[in-house]
Amino acid sequence: MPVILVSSDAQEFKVDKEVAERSILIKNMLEDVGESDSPIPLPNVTAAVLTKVIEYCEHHRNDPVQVPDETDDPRKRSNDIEEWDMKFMQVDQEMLFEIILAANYLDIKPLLDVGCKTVANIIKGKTPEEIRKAFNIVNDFTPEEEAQIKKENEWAEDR
Amino acid sequence: MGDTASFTPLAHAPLHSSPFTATTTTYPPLHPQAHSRPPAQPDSVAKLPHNVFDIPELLLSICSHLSSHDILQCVLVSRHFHTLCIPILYSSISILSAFQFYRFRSPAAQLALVRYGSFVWVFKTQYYNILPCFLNPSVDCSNLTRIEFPRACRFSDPVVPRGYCQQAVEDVDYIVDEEGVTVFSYQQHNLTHTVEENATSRITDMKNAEARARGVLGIFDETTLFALMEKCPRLTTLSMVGFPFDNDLLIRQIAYRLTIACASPTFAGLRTLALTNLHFCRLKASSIDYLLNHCTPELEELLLCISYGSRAEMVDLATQGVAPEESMDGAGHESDHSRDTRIGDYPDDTVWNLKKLTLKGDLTGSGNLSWLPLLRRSTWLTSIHIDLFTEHAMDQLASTLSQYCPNVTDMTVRCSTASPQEDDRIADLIRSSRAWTHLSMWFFHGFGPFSTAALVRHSATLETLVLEECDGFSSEDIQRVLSSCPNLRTFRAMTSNGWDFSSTVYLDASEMVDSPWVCHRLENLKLIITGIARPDLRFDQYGEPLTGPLHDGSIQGFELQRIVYQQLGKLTHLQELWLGHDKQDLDDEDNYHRTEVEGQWRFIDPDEQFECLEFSLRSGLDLLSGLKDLRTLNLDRLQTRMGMSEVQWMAQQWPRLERVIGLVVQGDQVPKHVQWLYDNHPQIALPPVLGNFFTSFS
Repeated sequence: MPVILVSSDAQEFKVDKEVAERSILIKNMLEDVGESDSPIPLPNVTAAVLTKVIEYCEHHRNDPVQVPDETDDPRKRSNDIEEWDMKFMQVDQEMLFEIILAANYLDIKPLLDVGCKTVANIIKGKTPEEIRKAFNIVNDFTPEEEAQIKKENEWAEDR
Repeated sequence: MGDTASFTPLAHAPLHSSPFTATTTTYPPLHPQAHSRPPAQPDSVAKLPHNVFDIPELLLSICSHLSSHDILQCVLVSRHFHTLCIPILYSSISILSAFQFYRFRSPAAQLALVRYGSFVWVFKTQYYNILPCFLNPSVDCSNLTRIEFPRACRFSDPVVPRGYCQQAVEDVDYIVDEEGVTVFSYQQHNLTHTVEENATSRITDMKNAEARARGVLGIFDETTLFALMEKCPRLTTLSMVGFPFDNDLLIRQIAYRLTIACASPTFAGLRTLALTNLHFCRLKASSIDYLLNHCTPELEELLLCISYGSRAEMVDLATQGVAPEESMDGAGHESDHSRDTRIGDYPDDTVWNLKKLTLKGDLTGSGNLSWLPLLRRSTWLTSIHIDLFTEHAMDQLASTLSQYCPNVTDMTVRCSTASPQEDDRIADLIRSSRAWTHLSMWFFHGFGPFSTAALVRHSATLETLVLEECDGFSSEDIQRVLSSCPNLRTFRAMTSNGWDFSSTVYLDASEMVDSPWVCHRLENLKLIITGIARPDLRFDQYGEPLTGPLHDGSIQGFELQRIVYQQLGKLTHLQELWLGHDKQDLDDEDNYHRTEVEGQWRFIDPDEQFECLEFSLRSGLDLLSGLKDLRTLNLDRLQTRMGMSEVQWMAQQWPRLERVIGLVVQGDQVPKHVQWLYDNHPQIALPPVLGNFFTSFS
């Protein structure tokens, strides 16, 4: 049975239940409501973003449900992104952020993970100035403050 | 220095169950003078209603994929990032190099630790002398849950690294001023690496020499560790490689820390205790008994890795150490006797959480298994790694596991008994679990029909099967395992690390003809496959003709090779493929050949390295083109026929290939195809191996 999702700009999307249930939020909603064909409003997601999210869920419809891995040190987790996901994430930054926020709101853990990994890969190996440039962030430190922070946290450098 | 001195430490962040939840609080501005500035609000953040970087959980998730170095860069981006990333940066601190050691002890870093101490969740280091940083009364350790020494712990300061220049922290005094705030005062003293003799570094050297001498004598300042354990109420993990097992007092103190959690509501119980030191130790066996006997139901993971150096000595120690309490009085804890709860004192219905037990080294020797009482309580145990030394111990382990630990699925046993174990006793041990997923057996020399039958009964669940230095496992048995275990990921039946080789378990390729393997999920295969016809090899390494049907031309073609390739080609998840050669059959008289020189014999075993896959395209190497994940290939001492077209094929078909062992032989001239790999694929390592066998007897 298909499920109808309504984006914030009132566009309707008809998707398979199985695909929609990739989102834990929608899955829980459907479980609470029971059998019903009334459309599900998603006031936090625009049509453009929802299209992308549905594309992701379609592609991953048959994936096994992710078991939360109990890795003690989250920093040890691998940074490998599947090829399809990598291509999927090749969007402009605004869209990337929108996808992450939508994944967070809709509770789609694997999509959220891929999104965060993509942002992490952008940050990786960059200097603070390059990070600021990449995300259009204004430096509001005085040079002295910056030097001070550098000094007190220098131990975090790899060397 | 004035800048740092005016840097008043800010109020502590409130205590939280996790340092990460703390990110939702608003922090005071970085500098007091920053009050006058307008609140930090970068343009981009203002523009987007919901920026990913505004949501602490998302930033945490992003930073979880970054190294400390990258997180530090984030901290430096802006005030907003600083506020959000500092708790992440401090949540897990690793001090593993000399640079980091001195930087972390620098006054600036110490002041920062006073401010951010409550964020520290995990602390990893290899320098014992860094621990006092946390003993400063102003440093909040209330959230420190894990203290780990992942590499061999050093009890002396590292040498000041070249290029390091900073004030020496030894000269810092902590002074509590009238408002109760700790400030630092230090004299100007430069700790710099210079070529000329420098007074400070000489002092450091002397201190280090002293520390080293103390280490050698087994005298070491255990009070630092005690004090830190006292200061961290949430400490649940203590893990130390290079643990000073000379210190009876320390091990008793740790046992004490294990037990106080039961009596005190303010202390969390230790959940993971991992102490490793494989060097000779002078610990009293009774102290280990004491520790084992004071394990608490909270404990989930216990790892002790100790070597007494001599098992004979252990017998004496075991007989000495009957009454551990007596020596405990000497440790000065008479007042705590009321809290001295031992395993036997817990009511029978207590739930014990121990899931993982690892006891390595000659901990138990040939004496009694002092850890059996603990094991009998551990209903939820899933994983056990044990070294055994007697058949009696084997029996005890088997009966205890089957009686008390129904959930155990993972076992590594190294059984160094004086003589081969009996088949049915090995079978009992294998039968002690309902369903093994990981089974690793070392030094079992008595495999036979009972034990292999017991093993095959676990074929549905087995994911890892390791048989290191095991005897009696026949070619048929191997084939039976591989054709009946669909979930197998790792199968190792050969002991080889690229330079050292020994194994007696091998698979005869003819077994593979009619029974296909089902283990298509295999990722790691280490196996000797022998008995493959190689009519192309007509002469041994001495130029003498090779005899026997596999070489004399009576078998033609590559049929058997193709069967082996086809079988291996189905293992599309394979990451490591280690093929081995047969062990020298020194007992077979046919392998000894007379030479021209009177009284000189030479030994040639034709299955040794002349019955392997050719690894050439003409013999069917292209059947392995599906092994896209292959990283390591070992062909050490196999008489393969690899040339230019083969290495080019491999480099093209196996994109993840990292290492090929056996292609480069020490002392040999580099052949063309190897040179091609060097030139075109320098990322593929080609570790050199020893040459082929030449054995002469006289």
